[in-house]
Amino acid sequence: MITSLRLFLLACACLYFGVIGYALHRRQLELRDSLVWLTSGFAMLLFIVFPQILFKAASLVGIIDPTNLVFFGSSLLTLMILFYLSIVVSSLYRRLRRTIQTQALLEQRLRELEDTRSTRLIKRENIIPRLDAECSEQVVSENPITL
Amino acid sequence: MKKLVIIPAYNEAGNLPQVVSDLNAAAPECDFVVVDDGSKDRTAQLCHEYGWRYLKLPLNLGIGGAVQAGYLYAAENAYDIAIQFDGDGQHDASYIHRITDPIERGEADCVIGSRFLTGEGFQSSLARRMGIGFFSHLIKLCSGHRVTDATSGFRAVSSPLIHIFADDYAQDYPEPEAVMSILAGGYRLIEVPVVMRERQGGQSSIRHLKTFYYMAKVSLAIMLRAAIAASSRKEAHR
Repeated sequence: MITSLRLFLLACACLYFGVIGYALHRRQLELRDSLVWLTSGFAMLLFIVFPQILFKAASLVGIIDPTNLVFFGSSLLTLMILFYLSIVVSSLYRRLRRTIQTQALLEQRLRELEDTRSTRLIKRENIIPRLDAECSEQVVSENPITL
Repeated sequence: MKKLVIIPAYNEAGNLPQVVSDLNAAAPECDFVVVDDGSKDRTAQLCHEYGWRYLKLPLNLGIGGAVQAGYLYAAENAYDIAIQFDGDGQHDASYIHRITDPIERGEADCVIGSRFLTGEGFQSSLARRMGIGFFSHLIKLCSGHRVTDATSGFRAVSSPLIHIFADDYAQDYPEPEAVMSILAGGYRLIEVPVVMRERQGGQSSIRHLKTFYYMAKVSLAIMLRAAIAASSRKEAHR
């Protein structure tokens, strides 16, 4: 393989690692999710440094031009990653749905409890008017609940 | 028996007061909960003003997620029967006893109100009837049971199904798939004739290109449910 091409590819691979490292550093990407990208980067490096592997592999599977093996391999990898991401999105949606439903149920319960509490306070106020009214006002002002 | 009517509502502020007053008049012994599916109109506010019991989903989950929230509520509060009742005024509250009675008598686990058993009332458009007929055949093929109106959202289920649906309920046009999961689980499902009205407001969610998505998704879901049930039956035999 031509040296200038290899140098260019090496620069590309370094840029690739740079982008992944930057995203990791900025905490935009979880380490767990970066593994697949890092692995693909190392595979690129391997093929740039030892292109013979590609030639050998291409002739093994019956592909005449090793470039086509690269294209085939990379599109296969991309498909796999997309499929994996699709699974992740499905599972995230399932969890989000359950979270929303649980939150709605909790909010309903909270509302119901607040309603019963305020009616109970009103009833007590009727029995011991002044003293209790002051207490309940304090309770309310100490715990400002905003929804 | 404790009965809960689940009313999924998305932007139904215009229809809800009528729906609830019909419901209260026809079945005062039933509790009801409105599930506000992230409406953009005054649905939740309205529920609050009237003092109705309601669940307010902060985001729109679609009919499946909203109904499932209702089932979760029913499961947590130990209801014996849950009734699904649309918030758009399509369903007639006077038929509620017709769909709950067989469950109370212990004759069925799920009762579906079908438009097509007697052919009275609003019968939907020809295209829709063809789609419903197709699902009916598909369900018959997959389960051996004939269900004339698998898309009807007017249905009641017993306590075991409440718990199953609270845990796992079909999403995106869930009705036919839920029917298949009931039949595949070996539960007793019957249909009773009801009369439905044309929707009083709002627009159907199934239009134009969505029709294809709808038919494909629901068919696939029915077959998938049948396949999962068949494989779990095989495992149980071993």
